[in-house]
Amino acid sequence: MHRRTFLAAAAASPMLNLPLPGAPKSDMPEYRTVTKYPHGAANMGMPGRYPGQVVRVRAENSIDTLTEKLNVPVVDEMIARGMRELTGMKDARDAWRSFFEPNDVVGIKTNCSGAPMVMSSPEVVANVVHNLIAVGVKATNIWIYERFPDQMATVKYENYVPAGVHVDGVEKTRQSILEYDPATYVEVDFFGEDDTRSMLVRHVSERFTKIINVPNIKDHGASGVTGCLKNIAYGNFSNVARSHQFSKTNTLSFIGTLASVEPLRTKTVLNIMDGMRGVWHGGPFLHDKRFRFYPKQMMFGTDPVSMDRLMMDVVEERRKREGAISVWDRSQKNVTKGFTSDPNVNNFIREPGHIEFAGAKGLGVYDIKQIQEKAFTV
Amino acid sequence: MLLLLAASLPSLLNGAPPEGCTTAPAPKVNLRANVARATTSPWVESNASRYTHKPAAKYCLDAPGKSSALAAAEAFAFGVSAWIKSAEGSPEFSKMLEFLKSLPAVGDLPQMANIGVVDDGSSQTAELMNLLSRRNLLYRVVSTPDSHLDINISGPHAADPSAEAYEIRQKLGDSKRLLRLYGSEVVVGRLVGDGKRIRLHLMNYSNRPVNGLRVRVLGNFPKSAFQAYGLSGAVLADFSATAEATEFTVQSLNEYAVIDLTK
Repeated sequence: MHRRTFLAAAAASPMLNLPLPGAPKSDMPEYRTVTKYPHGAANMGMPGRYPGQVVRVRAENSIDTLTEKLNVPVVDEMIARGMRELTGMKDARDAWRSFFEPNDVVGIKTNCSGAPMVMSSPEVVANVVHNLIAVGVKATNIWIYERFPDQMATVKYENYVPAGVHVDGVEKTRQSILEYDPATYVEVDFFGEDDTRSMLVRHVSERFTKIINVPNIKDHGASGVTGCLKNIAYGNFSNVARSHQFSKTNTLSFIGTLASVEPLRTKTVLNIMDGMRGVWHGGPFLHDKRFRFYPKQMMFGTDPVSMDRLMMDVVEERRKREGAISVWDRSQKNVTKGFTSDPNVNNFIREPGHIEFAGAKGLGVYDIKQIQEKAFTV
Repeated sequence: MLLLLAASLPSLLNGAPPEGCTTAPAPKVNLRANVARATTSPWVESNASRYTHKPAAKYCLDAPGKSSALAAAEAFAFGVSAWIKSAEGSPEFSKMLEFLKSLPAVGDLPQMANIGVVDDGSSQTAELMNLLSRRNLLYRVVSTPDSHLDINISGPHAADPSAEAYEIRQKLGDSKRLLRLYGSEVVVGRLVGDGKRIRLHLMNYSNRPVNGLRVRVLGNFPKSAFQAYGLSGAVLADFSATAEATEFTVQSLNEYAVIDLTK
């Protein structure tokens, strides 16, 4: 009998009592983390030196929404202000020096899935690079990276940074595991898939001493929203799309689980959220320009949970203003497969609860009442 | 013209196809863009289950051009005799035969398996074996349950062989599997060995190389030898051997590769 005939027979059978591959097994799959790296110093990584603290800097003239051009002096001022306010230091150079030493090898984790229209802005990334070099980090020890080279290529970071800085897309061939560390991974069987391992980007375990996370403010069809946590988690592991194959996804627990893996957790010492542009529906991609918006703000912190908690409100408020359903809407009737231009239709049952889950894993403070936000306008 | 690939020592022979030979499809990934499918996994046309099921049969395949190389490797890996039509003049076929001839002989090592499948001759059992092969759940065809194996399967089978294969996998447990492959859904492995030495055959059914395949073989085998078709001098990367398992990465895999592991 042909395989397809079997599938048809299976679909017609009323008496199936076997577990069906293709159906997520539970909200809490059985994760097995394999790593030889211990947790670093208590104040290193996530939630880091400033748990529960977020600095938000807004600037109305940070971007020209007609030309899409960033106002570089204003962006530079926003970053300097953010770093000073986060660390309590008067000099921005000292603020950077408090995080990085000349012998560091620094990975700058960008987000390019919405590129070329919404991504970690090259002007922001260039500022970060210049500040690292200013505190003595060698250009050749700075790596701007993202998982997929094709997405990254559209941004052309190399045109914005000094010679010697590496710009690297990890998966030279899509789905290739060659640039991942086979000894550092999370193993989990979500729905019967045979490849059950998600491996850490090899740069993270073997090359970088520290990581700066530069996410955006975006809606995400599966995880609800995507900011610090998802960028650092799904952006540093192989074989993660399997968590959202079906309408009920495993993003709730997978994001925080991956972000907790050492040495990723310890090495991610700083998060700079580029919210000049954002996506309020259809993310993480930008299928339709009408779902782009301009929060004109940046957030700074070491606690990705607190930052994402605030970021979620930015997306939610925009969706509300646009008359779209909440990121918390879990109604199956609003779920359909494939992108549609209707913002009241979801691709998946959204899981913005992944932020709280990550908080419970110890990655940061989720309770809005306990988050100390310092907001400024430049 | 038809070409016969002898089972253990590949050679070219002229002549007619064996009478009553069993027709088998050319091995490949079958892209069925117009067919609705239950999973996103590629549709792999593998003869692994046919060859495992009836290793003594003579097979006839029409595998033109490049696919003749994989057809030759597949037949060799499973130790069957196969007539491969349309292979004449195929440089890939000739190159593969040269590669197969160059492989060091390891003798007649027994097939390794976790699972015994009691063959009742039904099409349901045949399809279950096909899915077990595709998912690298190593099995052996048995006439009665074999207590040396971890699991024995006999009919009647479930209506959905895919679900049944998954249930078998769950009962076995991934940690007990003799072979695990990570990083590709288009590679099928065959494992033969006697406990002291193992030969792993890896077949890539897609029409392009697999760049990065992580392999886990149960047991501690610290010594290795690697031969990859079309890749002279290739080495295994990130090799580790612990008391529990041996792992390594095949950095690039064309149609076929062989890894010999020893204690």
